Amino acid sequence: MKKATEKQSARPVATSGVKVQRYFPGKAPDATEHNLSASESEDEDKVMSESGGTAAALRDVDITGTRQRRGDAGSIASESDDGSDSEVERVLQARLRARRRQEDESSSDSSGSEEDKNERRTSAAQHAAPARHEHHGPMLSTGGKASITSDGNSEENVSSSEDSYSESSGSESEHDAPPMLKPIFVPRSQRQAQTDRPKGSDDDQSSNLAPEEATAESERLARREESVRMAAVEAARAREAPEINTSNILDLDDTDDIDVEAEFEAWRQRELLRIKREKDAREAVDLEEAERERRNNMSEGEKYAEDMVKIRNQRREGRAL
Amino acid sequence: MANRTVSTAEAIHGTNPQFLIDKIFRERIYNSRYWKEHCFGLTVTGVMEKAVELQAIGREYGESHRPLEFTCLLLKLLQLQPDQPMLDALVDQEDFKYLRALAVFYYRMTQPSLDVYRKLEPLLADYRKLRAIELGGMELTFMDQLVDDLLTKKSVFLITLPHLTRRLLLEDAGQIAPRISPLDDDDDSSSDE
Repeated sequence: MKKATEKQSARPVATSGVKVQRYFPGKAPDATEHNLSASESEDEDKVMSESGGTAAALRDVDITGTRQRRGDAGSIASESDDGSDSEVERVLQARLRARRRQEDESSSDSSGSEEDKNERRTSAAQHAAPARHEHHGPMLSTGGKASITSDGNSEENVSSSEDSYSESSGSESEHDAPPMLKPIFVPRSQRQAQTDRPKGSDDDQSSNLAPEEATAESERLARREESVRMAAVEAARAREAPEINTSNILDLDDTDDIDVEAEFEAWRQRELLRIKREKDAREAVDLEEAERERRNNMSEGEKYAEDMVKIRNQRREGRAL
Repeated sequence: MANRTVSTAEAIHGTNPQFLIDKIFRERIYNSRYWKEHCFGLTVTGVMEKAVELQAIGREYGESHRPLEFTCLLLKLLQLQPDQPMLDALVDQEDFKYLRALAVFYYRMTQPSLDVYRKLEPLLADYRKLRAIELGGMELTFMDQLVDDLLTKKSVFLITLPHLTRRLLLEDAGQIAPRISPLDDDDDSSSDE
C-alpha cells in the first residue's frame, strides 16, 4: 500500500482545512474528491495512524489520496478562491452551524464534535481528534480509544457527519454551478414545518404561516378521523366477540338434573342423529361395494351400454335444468 | 426443566407427547400464568385435584387468547404421561365431569384407535352439561357431544387430533363390532350395520 506508507512518513502539510475522504461500506466513491470544508484531517490522520485496523488503513488511503490531489497546501482558505466556491463555502458553514446547534441539545458527546468543527475552521486542535475519532469509532468499528457516551448519539452524529463528508465533498466540486442543497437531519423536536406542502409553495402567499397552519389543521383532522374510525372498529369487534373472563363463565349454568326429562330427550335426539349418520355411512359404503362388484361381473359391452344410458340421462337433466 | 416431558415417558404417535399440541399454542401455555403458578411440579394426583376445580373446557379465553386451565392441565398430563390403569380409572370415574372430559381428551390424543373406540363409545351415554369456551363466546355442550366430536372430527378446540382409523374400516377388518347404541334396546330400528 504505497499511499499508506507515504502517509506514515511525516509530511509537513498544512491540513487545517483538509477534508477527509472516508471509506464506509455502501458509499459510492466520488468522482470529484476535493474537500473544501474544514476537516480535522490532520488530527485524524495522526489518530488513525495510531489506531490499527483495516478501516484505518482505508481511511489513510483516502486521505493521502485527497491530499495528493489537492497539492501541497490544503487549507480551506486557499481552496476557496473562486467566487462559486466561496458561495458553497458559506452555505456549508451555515449548515454546519445549524448542525452544531442541534447537536448542542442532543448530547454532551456532540459538544465535543461541535468544538471540533469550530476548531476545524480556525486551526486544527489536538484534543478534538479523540472526540472525532470517537464518532467514527462505531461507524468504522475500530477499537482505539473510543469512549462513546451513548451509542445512539454517536451513531447519529456519525451518520450526519458521514453525510456531510460525502455530500460536501461532492457539492464542493468546482463543476457544480448551483450548490446542491444537502439534506441535514433535523431531530423531531426541532422540526417546525412539514416538508410536503400540498399547495404549491411557489404561490405568493402573504405569510409563510398560512399554508403551514392549513396543512397542520388538515393533518389534525385526518388523525381525528382515523382515531374515530379505529374506535368504531374496536367497538364492533367487542360486540361480536365478548370478552370472557372467570366471572362470566359461571353465568352459564351447567348443573345437571334440573329437568331430567328434557335433558334425556335432548340426548336421545342427539343419539338418534348419530345412529342415523352411522347408518347412512354404512349404507353408502355398502352400495359402493355392491356397485363395484356388479360392474366387475359385467362384460365390457354391457358396461359401455350402461354408461351411455347414464350419460344420456345426465345430459337430459342438464338441459332441463 | 419445568417444561420437559417426564423422562420415563414413551413416544406417543411417534413423537414426544407434548408435541401433540402445536408449538405456538404450547409456548403460549408455557408462558401463561396458570401454568407457571399452578402446574409447576405437579403430579398426576395434583392434576386430578386441579381438574376437579375446572369450570369449563375449551382452548383459550376468547379475545385475550389466554390458555384455559383445561388445556394447561391437558399439556401437563401429556408431560406426565400417567400410566394405563390410572388413565382408565380417570375416564371411568363419573364423579367429576370436567375431570372426565380432560381424561377423555387425553385418551383420544394418546391411545391407539381401537382402544379409543372401545373406551370412549360408552361415554356417548353420558349427557351431562359442560361449559365450552370458543373464540366466539361461551356455550353449553354435553359430554356425549364432546366424545362424538373427538371420535369424528379432525380437530377439537383447534387442537389437531391424531389420526383415528375410521370405524367402518375397523368394522370391515373385523376388529370391532358395529356400535350398539343404548337406544337400540328401546328402538325397533335396526342397529347400524
